[in-house]
This record gives sequence, structure tokens and C-alpha cells, in this order.
Amino acid sequence: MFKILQKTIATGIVTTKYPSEPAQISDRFRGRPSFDFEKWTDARPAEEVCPTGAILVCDDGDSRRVTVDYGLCVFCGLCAEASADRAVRITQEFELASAHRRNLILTAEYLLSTDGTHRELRGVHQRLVDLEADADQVGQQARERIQKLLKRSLAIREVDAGSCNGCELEIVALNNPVYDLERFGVRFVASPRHADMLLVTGPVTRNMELALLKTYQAMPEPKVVVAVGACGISGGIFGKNYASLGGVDNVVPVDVYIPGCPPRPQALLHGILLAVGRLGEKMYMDSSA
Amino acid sequence: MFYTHKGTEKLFEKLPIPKAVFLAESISGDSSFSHGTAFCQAIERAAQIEVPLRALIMRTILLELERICNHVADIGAIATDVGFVVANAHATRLKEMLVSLNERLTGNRLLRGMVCIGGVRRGWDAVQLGSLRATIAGFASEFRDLVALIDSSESTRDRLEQTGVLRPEKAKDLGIVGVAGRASGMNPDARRDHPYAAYGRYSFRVPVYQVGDVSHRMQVRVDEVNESLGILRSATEESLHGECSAQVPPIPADRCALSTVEGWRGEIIHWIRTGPDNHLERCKIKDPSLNNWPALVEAVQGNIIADFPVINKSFNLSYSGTDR
Repeated sequence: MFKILQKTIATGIVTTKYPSEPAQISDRFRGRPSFDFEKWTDARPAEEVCPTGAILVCDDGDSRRVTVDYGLCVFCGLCAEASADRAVRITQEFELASAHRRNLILTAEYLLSTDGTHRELRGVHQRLVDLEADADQVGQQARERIQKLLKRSLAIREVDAGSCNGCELEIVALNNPVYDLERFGVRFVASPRHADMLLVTGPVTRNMELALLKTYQAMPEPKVVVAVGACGISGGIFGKNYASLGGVDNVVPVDVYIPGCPPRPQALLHGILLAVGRLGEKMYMDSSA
Repeated sequence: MFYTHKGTEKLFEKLPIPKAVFLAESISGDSSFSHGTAFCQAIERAAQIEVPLRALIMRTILLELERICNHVADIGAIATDVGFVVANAHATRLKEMLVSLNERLTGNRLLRGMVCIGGVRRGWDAVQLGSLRATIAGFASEFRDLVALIDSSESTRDRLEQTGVLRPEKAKDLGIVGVAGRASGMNPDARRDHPYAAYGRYSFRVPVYQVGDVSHRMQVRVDEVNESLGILRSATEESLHGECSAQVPPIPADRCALSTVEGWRGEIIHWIRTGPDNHLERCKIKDPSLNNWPALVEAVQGNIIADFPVINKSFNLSYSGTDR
């Protein structure tokens, strides 16, 4: 007993102050690739190396549409290495969670030169849905009700719908003393009947489809569903095939998407707090530290 | 079983070989680097690519980091399952220390996006190497404290000893591999028996016990962490100069290759047959979890229900790795 206390005191507090303070992450971390569409002279090399098809090039005569989908991205950094013009840069940004699937997709329209490189940028489309979402009164009311009810105490049921267990490792890490999810009144429970939030990882396999659906149906209202990782959002590198149904929203409605492969614990924390409207509020750690 | 079957092996046939490395990393997330390396080794063997020494040493270092990371998490989880939560708090803290090191070395906490056909994608600068050496030294002393803490708890020892016994005869009959095998008298270790990466350059001991209970499965992990730290110390002393990866020619069609990597859980085997246009014609992947599931069935017999979680954890098998 004395040894345990001694070790505990010697260790001190290791808990991170995120999200009250910016996360302390290594400058080597590969976060969101950022695209300088003005500067980008050719999207084809990046498309060619992208392992999941997150960058898509669609040519029509002398015009080109480039689509970048952060919901498919596995953050490997190959697009930045392949683009000679340095228009693609790997940043340390990880707070990518969004309530709308389409918010994770950027598109750019180009006019082409004869050799297939970009001659002129005609337009960039991103975050289309934010405006629409504000007009959606019913959705807004439902969200406010959820946020009011679940703000102080949130019980999460985690379902592995076919994940490689990489996302699980990071979800488990949320419970370690460094990220300590319970300081927000958030905890994991063993039954969907006790849960407010369904946290789903992995492409949904054919064999897990029914289990996921039943878990969702077993949860009391109001409930929130969060899709974790590239696979949970879009099927990721597995996509759709004879055994995989792709993203979670093909089976149950999803409220928040958290990109990453896997999303780091801070990104998960960000997404979970976003889902219950708790971002930006003053955190417990502020007063104690 | 097989609820998380994702058609991975068939998917390998659709992806160009360089992209398939990322699929290999997603076979079992906790063994991302081991599976990635096993796949790259198979391709390198098929195409007769000579991997530079620097890349081989870096792969060895990363493979051992993956092993330590998972072992320390398992040691903590075994302690939790018998109610010693403080030990787990320290173990997960130590794991976090290594996972952030992974990120400083490779840009990803699970070591993803580092291994490639022909070597590794990036070299390390002096800052990264310094951080690697410092973290290993810091981890080694913290790990000693953690093991002492668990050893000092008599109630923990009492719960682990003679729990979930897998007899050596049974282990042999079932062909159990890796940590679970070595706790029950099996003595295969791909690092020693079929040296790959730079394992031939370092000496290490393979711990083998005959008892086969949860306590010895934990002891194998403790011993292996200590041996891995030894390998890491020797490997980080070597000078890491030269190329990080070899030039990769077009992969010739109709070649077969077999590759094995001793992942932290046990032996990972990738068999490939190449096809035209830089694609695979077929591949077969075996994760150690596949061998070891029947062992869990044997080990839990005659034990109380309350001990099931800790016995299960002491094997810690991967659904995704088995189901693919």
C-alpha cells in the first residue's frame, strides 16, 4: 500500500489540459493534408498514389473536377510527397469531426491545358451544408434537446462493426490517465440499454449489420451515433465488397463523423464533445489548474 | 468468430502492390507494423529486392517498439481484470509514452505509413534518435517499477497463479504460437528461427515456461519487454546512415513468396503470388490469433466465471486478424 502511494505521488498529475488548452502534439504528426488549390498545377499524381481514393480526378473535355474526401483519408501523406508543386501540405490539424458527411468533402473545378495540367481555377466548394443546417429547424430543435439532456453525463456504448481494432486502441486510450474521459462525465457502458451515444468503428461487415442495427434499436431516445475513423465514415480502405457494407451511415443514421486512421484520442474527444454540444465550454481542468 | 470478416484477402487482389501495404497495416490494428512488414518482405522476396541495412535496422527497432507497446498494455489489462487498477493506470501511462514516441518517429501513433516496399519511407534525424534513446531509458526504469508494483501485490499473484492453465501437451497438439505458446513449453520464435530484418545482428533470449497459467503468460511478456529493450539499446547504437529504401523495379508476375514476422502476439505469415500489372494474383494471411483461439477454449475449462476476463486477456487475440 505504501509503495502504491509512493509511486502515485512520485508520478504526479499526467492528465492533458486538452481541450481547454491546445493539444501538445509532435510536429511529426501527420494531420489534415491542406490543399492550395490556386497553386495546384496537377492533381493526377496525388490521385494516383492515394491508397483509399480520397483524391478523385474527373475530367470532362477541357475542365476537371477534383474531389478531396477527408472521410476516406488515412493520413498517409503520400499526396504531399507526390505533388511536386508543394500545393499539398501535411498539417498537424486533427479536429476534423463534423456533423455532416458532405462537410468533409472539398471540390475544386479547373480549366485544363492541353497537357492535362491545371490552367485556371474556376471555383472551390467546401462546407456546403453549414448554411442548410441552420435552416433545418426541426433538426436544430432535436439537437438542442439532446445537448440539454446529455450535457452533464454521457454514457457511451462502443460497437466494433468490423474495425481492424486500431480505432479501439485509441478509444481505450481515452480511459488512460492522460486523456481521462471521465473528467467530462463521459463513461463507457456495457449495454446499449444504458447508453446515450453509440460509438461505431470499422466498415460495417455483412455479419455485423444486424448486430449494429439491433444495438441501435435497443438504445433509449434521445440517442446520438458517432462514426469513428475512415472505415466508419466511408468504409475506408475496405470500401464496399462482398463482405463489407462500407460506412456506418449505410446501416444507422450518423450524427457526427470523426476522420482519422485511427483518430488520435484528442480527435475522438473533440468529436464526442461536438456531438453533445460541449465544445468551447469552460472545462473542469481550468478551475483546478 | 468471423463476424468481422471484411474480404481482405480478395481486396488485396484489387489494389496495386504499393497501396496494398496500407491494407496490410489494417489487418490487425495492434500489429500494423508487423503485418505491413510481413507483406513488404514477401513482395521484396518475390521481386528479389535488396533492402538497405539502415531500413532493416529501423524496421527492427519499430517492430520491437510495437511489441513493447502491446505487452505493457496487456500487463496492465491483466492486472485490471483481477482488480489491481492502479497498476493499469501506470501501464497505460507507459504505453502512452511509447505511442507518442511512435508518433515522433513515424508520424502515426500506430506506426502506420512508415514501412514501404524496399525499406522505410523516411529516415530519422538526430532529434528523433535522441528522443528514441531517451524514451527507451526512461521507459526501462518506469517498467521496472511497474513490475515491482505488481509483484508486491500478493492478492494479484494469488489470482493469476494456476488460473487458466494450458498444459504443454495441449499447446503442442493445438500448435499454439507466440506468447501463449512460450508460456506452455512451445519454443518457436521467428526472430531466432528464421531471422528477418536485422535480427541476425542482435542476441536475445526467448523466454519459455512449462506452467502455462495466466501468471506465466504475463511473465513471458515481462521477459520479452526486457529482451526487446536490450535489442533496442544495441540497435540504436548502430550508425543509421545510407539509403532508407531500395529502388523498386516493376514486380515480376507469377512469383510466389512466403514471409514470416514474429509479431507481439506470435508468428504472422503472409504468402503471396504476384500477377501482371503490379497486382497480386492471390494472397493468404495468417495472424497468430487464428492458431490461438482453440487454446482459450482449453484454458478456461474448470475455472470460475469471474476468471474468464483475465484468462481471455492473457491471450488477447485479435478478431480482425482472425477474420480478416
